[in-house]
Amino acid sequence: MQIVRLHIENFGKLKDLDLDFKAGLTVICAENGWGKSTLAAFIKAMFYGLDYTTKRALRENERKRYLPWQGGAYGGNMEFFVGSKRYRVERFFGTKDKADTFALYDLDTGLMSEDYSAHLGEELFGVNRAAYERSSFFIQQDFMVSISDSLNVGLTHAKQDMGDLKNYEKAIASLESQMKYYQKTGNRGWIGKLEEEQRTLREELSECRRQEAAVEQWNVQLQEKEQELQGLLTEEQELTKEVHLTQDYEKMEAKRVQYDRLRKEAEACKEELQQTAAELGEFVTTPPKEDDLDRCREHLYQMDALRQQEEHVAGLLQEASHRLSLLEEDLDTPFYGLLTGVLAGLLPVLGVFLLLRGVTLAGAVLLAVGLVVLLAGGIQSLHVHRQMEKKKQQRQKAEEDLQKCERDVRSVRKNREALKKKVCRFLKVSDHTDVQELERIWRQSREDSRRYMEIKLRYETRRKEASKSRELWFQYGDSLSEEERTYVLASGVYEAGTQDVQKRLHDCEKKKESLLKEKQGIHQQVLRLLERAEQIPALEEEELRLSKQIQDALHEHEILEKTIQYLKTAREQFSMRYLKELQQCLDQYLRLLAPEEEPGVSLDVKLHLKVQESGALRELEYFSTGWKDLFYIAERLAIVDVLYKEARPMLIMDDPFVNLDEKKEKRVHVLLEQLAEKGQILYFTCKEAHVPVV
Amino acid sequence: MKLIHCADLHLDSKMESGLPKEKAAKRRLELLQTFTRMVEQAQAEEVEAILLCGDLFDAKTISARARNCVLDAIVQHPQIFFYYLQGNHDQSSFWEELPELPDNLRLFGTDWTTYEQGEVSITGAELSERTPDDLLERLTLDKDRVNIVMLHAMATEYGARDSKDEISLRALRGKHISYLALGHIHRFRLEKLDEEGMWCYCGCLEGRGFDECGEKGYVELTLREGALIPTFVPFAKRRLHEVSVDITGLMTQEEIQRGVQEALEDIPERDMVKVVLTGEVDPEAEKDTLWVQRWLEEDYYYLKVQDETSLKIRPEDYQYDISFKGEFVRLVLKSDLPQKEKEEVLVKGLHAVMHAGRE
Repeated sequence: MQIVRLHIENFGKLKDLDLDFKAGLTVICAENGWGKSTLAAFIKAMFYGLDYTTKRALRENERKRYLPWQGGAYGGNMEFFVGSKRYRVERFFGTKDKADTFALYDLDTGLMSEDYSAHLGEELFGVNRAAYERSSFFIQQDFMVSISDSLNVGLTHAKQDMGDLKNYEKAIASLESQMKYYQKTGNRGWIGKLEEEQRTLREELSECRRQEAAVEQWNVQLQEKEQELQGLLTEEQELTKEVHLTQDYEKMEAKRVQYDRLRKEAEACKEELQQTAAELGEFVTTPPKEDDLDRCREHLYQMDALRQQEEHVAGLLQEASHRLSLLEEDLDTPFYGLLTGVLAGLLPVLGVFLLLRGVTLAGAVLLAVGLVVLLAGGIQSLHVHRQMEKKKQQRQKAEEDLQKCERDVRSVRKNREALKKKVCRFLKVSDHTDVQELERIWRQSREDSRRYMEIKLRYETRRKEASKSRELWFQYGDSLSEEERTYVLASGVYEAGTQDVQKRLHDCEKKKESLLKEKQGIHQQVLRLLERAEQIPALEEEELRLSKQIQDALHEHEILEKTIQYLKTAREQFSMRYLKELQQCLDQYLRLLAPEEEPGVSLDVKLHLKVQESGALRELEYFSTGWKDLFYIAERLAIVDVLYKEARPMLIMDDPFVNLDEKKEKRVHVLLEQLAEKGQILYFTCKEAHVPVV
Repeated sequence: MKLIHCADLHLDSKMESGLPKEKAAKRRLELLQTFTRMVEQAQAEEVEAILLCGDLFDAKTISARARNCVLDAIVQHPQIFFYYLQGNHDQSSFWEELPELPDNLRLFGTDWTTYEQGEVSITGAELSERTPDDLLERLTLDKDRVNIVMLHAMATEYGARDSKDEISLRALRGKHISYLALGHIHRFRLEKLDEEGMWCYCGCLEGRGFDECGEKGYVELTLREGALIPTFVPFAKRRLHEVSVDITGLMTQEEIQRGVQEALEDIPERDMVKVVLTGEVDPEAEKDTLWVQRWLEEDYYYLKVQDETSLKIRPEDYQYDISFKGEFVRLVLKSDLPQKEKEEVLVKGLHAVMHAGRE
């Protein structure tokens, strides 16, 4: 490719600039600030357009950077050759790439050409903008750039180097260590750990599930037990019924026994009653009553008492008559009294007479005596009278007494007689029975009476008993139900085998108990199992999470593996693509640059340059700056050769050889000559001295 | 009269959101608490009946805790009637162990059972293999009552002949149903059934996985002048959100983080979030999902980040890249790995070399 001419309308500080180029070397000697970089950028922009980026830094934002200060159309055009065809490219730029315009004209026909698109540079050179810049611009600052640096540029204009082969090793190492994190040998890495966790979890989960399933089984067992229990209950019921039946029969039997007993009792009572009645019947006549007997006895006592009384009264009679006779003797001598009386009377008269006569004292005395005697006599006569009266009375009384006694005796005797009669009548004996006999008879009667009463009492009691027992018996009979009555009156006896039934019932009970215990046990077991089973949702959750984690980790690991693999492959391919050719070109250029020394160079897979010196391959660092520069130059040029197969861009060199010493500079200039034959070179310098003479 | 229609609680079942063990356990507890809260709320609002339309429990083994929680709720609120319908996930009856059923617990069987409560008749049937084939046809209701029908199934227009899980809406029209209370679908949906009534999925009470995002709760029915008016009551303690964030064109970690943060602005911190990164990402972008997750997960009860971005890489871009990187990219793109893997390998490789260069 050869650039013929260019026209800058407005680009950065360059405005309305036309430049012509010829084949080979073009030198522009201009001071700093002229616009070398701007020109270089323009050329690049004609091929590649301007990048659109949001980066604000001017350094990274060319569009902004070269926006014309003075306004006006931002762009220009350029004519160039490719092979035998001539083209003109016209580009104008706006603030955004949408506003950019592109036109390619075929200068031979004058029409628009379809040979290339707006991606002119890419299509023409086969490299992207960055690579183009890197390889074709030989700018002073970053001259000392190694091959791999040159070959490794990013999509952005970031200064940093990305995708650098140098960093390939580090990248691979980092990826590998990431892989190790996931999976170390012996299953130790993160994945191993997760899988371990998962295993444990799954075990637990399956355990829980098993237990949950076991619950089913236990439940089935429970059901079975339940059924057994039911069976037992039914059996129990039947046995109980039997027992009840037995009990019923027993009750009926008991009732029957009772009934019979009562009947027997009633009959026994009746018999006794009859017996007693018979005994009673033995008495031909009813013995006299107790009361009557008592009265009789009373009578007898009275009789006895009367007899005593009679005796007593008879005694009194005697006494009384005796007394009477005594009394009658006392009734004489009244003469004595009379005498006394007359005397007594005389005295007072005398007395009075005396008194009247005046013989008082004697008179008085006589009177007094006489009175006294009179009085005394009076008293005495009264007394005697009284005594006489008393005696009379006494006598009368005694007479009366006597009469009374006689009367008494009579009455007593009468009473006695009467009583006796009564008693005899009572005792039903003749009246003439004597008292002792009477008493004997009475005692006999009393005995009889007592016995009779006894028997009668016994009879009464027995009658009551008989009546009661019959009453009970009948009542009992009435209280029975029809069934019972029939049974009771029947003569059969129920043979109850209660013993056996009871035992079976007991066994049943025991079995029931043990079953219930078993049920309880199962129930507990089930509860325990359920507790475990409740954890299932949580465990499942966790398992899900873990699974996902593991999956993600495995995926990550796989990707890492693949990435490493691809990186390795890419590196190989990359190296292989350039290695051989680079080696050849390098050799070539170095021979040109240092013909005497004939340095042996070696380029390794990493495209790292080593030079043979004194029998060993040495790093470039070993060499002096001057030599290093040469090596770098050779590298850069080799790269250009390798990269651009078809169309070769114009190499733009901005005083790149300032640091070389004269000798080396000369050699470089020789090299430039040769290069100029291969393609165009645009050489900037600001010092005349540095203009290469070609 | 007020009733509550709820379903699909899946108490003490496994969470499917990827929560770590402790949080998952806590979340299961929260589910139980939400149930209890709902019953308390019902009491406060004088709700007279709670319709549990299936899938109250989930696992084969109902945890003692869940069972006791439900039983307690039932027993302690004797003035509320609990209508319990078993769903396809209920594998065993939680009341089988009880010596006696609480009076306010009303159960259903495989054929229609109807209960009367006030002006409302509540009819339900449990679908299983034993369900008679013509179950729906056999439903007859008294047209003078307000009829609620409870079922746990998928409702489609025509139903499915051989599936016991599907019911035909068509077969239920014109049967004087005022409200068809359904369970099974975990999202609220209310539609008209016919001139007399509507059908409704109340959705689940709390989301358990990120496929159950959005508002969750129960439906409160108010009976007014012979008509049932349903109101959805959001009641979940925590909501789940799946948020897509397009990070196309974003290059740096800060940009990406900022983008994600903006998308999550309105989400309260007690909720659970799944961030899905989408879009096309430059292979050189600083996309580190783990970092984003770590940085954001403190702000919410739970946060996880899923990377569903694709790599903005086209083979044409590398056609002319002569560098080693270009070599690598071209090699990978040309390979016969599946697209997703290609992208992963590229990102890994490029980042590895990039980071190596930085050190």
